[in-house]
Amino acid sequence: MSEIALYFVMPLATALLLVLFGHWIERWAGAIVSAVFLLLTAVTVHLWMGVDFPVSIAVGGWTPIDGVPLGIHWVMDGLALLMLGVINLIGVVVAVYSIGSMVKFTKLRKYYALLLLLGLGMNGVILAGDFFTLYVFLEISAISSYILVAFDRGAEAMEASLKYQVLGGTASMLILMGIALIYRLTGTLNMADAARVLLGMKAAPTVQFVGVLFLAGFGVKAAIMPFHAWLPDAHPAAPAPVSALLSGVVVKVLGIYPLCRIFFHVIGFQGVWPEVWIVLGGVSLMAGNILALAQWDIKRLLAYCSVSQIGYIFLALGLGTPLGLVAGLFHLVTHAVGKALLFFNAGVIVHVAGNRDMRALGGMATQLPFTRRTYLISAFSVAGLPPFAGFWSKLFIIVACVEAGRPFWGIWAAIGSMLTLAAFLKIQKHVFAGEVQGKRLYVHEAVFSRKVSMVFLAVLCVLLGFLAIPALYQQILSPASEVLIQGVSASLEILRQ
Amino acid sequence: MILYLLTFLLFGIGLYGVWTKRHLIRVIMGLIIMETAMNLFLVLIGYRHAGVAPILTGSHNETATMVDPIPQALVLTAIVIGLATTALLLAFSVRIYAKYKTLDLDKIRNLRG
Amino acid sequence: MKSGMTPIVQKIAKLMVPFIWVFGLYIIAHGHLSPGGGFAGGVFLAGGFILISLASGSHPDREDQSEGFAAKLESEALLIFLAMASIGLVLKLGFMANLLAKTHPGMPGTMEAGGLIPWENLAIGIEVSAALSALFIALARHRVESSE
Repeated sequence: MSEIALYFVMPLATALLLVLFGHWIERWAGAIVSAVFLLLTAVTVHLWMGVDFPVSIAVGGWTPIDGVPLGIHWVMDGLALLMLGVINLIGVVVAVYSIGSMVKFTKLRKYYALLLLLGLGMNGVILAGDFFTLYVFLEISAISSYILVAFDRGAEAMEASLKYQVLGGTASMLILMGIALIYRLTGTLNMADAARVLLGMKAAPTVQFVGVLFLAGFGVKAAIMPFHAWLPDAHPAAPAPVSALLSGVVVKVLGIYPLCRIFFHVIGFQGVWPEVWIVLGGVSLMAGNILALAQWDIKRLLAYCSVSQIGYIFLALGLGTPLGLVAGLFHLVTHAVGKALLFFNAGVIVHVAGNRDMRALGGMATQLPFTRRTYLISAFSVAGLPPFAGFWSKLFIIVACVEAGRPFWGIWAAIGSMLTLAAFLKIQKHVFAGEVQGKRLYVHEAVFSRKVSMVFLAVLCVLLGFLAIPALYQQILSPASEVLIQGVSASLEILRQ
Repeated sequence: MILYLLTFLLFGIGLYGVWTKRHLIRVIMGLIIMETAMNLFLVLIGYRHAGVAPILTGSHNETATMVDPIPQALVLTAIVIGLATTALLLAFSVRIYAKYKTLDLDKIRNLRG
Repeated sequence: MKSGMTPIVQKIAKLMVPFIWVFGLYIIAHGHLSPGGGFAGGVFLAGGFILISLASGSHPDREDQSEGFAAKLESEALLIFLAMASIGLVLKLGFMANLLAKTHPGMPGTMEAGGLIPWENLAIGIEVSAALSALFIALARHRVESSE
């Protein structure tokens, strides 16, 4: 059980050691970071196989009195396990890719230390059992990501990061206000305990206001419309592995996961909230796709596509039915993998061509055959073509919409899927197909470390499709969705630990 | 009650600053004002009527009403987080000034295109 | 900030700084007995350093050295804090368990009352002061660079 502390100690200790001794081990920094994330993935798998959930660990050994928790608690249940697995696995892949792609930077130890701190922050957000731990680790990840976005110190990256910081800082203030109000209402910061107290109170208007604050604050972090304004600037300007990590994992962990925890476990997912989630998700879905189609910058197109896929996840989770929750979580996993791979491909393309404008590229199919194949796999997965993983997750979402009695959203999601495919075909047409045009900085394929990470993700894109088999998803996704379905009673169960 | 409303007013002032100001440093100051307002709000929540500082000193005022210590711990942490955020924003301002030679947000946005 | 301030200011600053540092250490050491603790005391220590830095002006090569030293000191202090927090892990008491409070409990209100907490406060105090000093040097140094 004390392995859970590894999620905190390992990344932090390694980051600090990298800063201290990095001067001598700079060549191995990438391998060390990948090893740390790999270790954490192994710990996640080990915990998944061995332990009965939910588990609540009191930091500092403060035992609860009369069932009222004192102190900070780390809570692990099915949902936390799923997210931890996704984060650390994508962390491994991003670290491996960085070995090959960050070669023109000096002082790489700072980059890897920041990557580890981002991982630490995300692990902390997931394992947090009370609001303030959540806030502290949210800020750790946010600050690390601000610096990572601006890592190449170009004018555009600094400006994008500045916009991200101001919007993210305002969102953090809204979240802090929500936390303060919850403390005032319930007298406790522990999420499970707050749920218990809120059960006994009437649905006061203050609780609705708190819900709005959290939705706005975490909505900015999750880049759902209308709070998405920072994402189309920040994700293109970041270095390729950072974009992959941000788009694939960070927006989900810093935005969707706390919203799930708060709305399903503390406030209770009833009343007006399911409708709000569905509408926000639906709007993001369509608007993100339409805006993506209009872009000529590759990474900006992928960023808008991220907004729309997050909309899909909100739509599915907002339905609230068991199948809807499974579909939302399934899509979360497949999109993390697919979007990371898409950004990896974009990274190779941008590295070879030197700019991101699709009008100046063309004919890369002959120059980058390997990248073209992985691009097609990831594009078809995220757009939702069989037999890739994304097809199954989108199918689940559409079926869940129909099953929940809302066929309109099912058709809406299907139309959005076609628009996503159109956007990816646009990239295919302008970047890969056609005559070779535009200048090239280099004319070689991706280096080995990039290829390794891309192949791994491409294989995952295919293999994750098998999660659609009920026998498999009941092992992996259902523990997570069940935690959400139980809603507030899951919190009561945590209190009993 | 009036104190709570005043902290919300302070938060509103900060939010207005972030939204409308054109000069980067004024936007950052708006963010700082928001953070200060939130810290004040947190401390206010902990106040108990006629409470003393929540420190056990082994002397005879153990039975006095103490203010709630949890918001004070939260505010300490929030102040440090605010410090880190502000420091990062200011470091970015210095770099952006070095690149764009201006801190006017309209010009910084337009240069990017 | 090419040259420092007048000799009077420099002399007074050098006189004040030991008192500032002692006060900062006092706040760190009594963190479990009075308001303050690691963060606030660390800010005082950094404030003393910043005062000296401002009074004596900028010396680019020395600043370089100081910044590197401050960054390393910060990481070391945080590692020591992490090690203290992990002692509980190794001894199966739970992460960040207060070891010394169990073995050497003191009277409330005395210095030994906190167990491991005063030592953790000290580590955090050093860490915060090093971090803020590094921050100051980084910002001040860059200002000099960009205005040339």
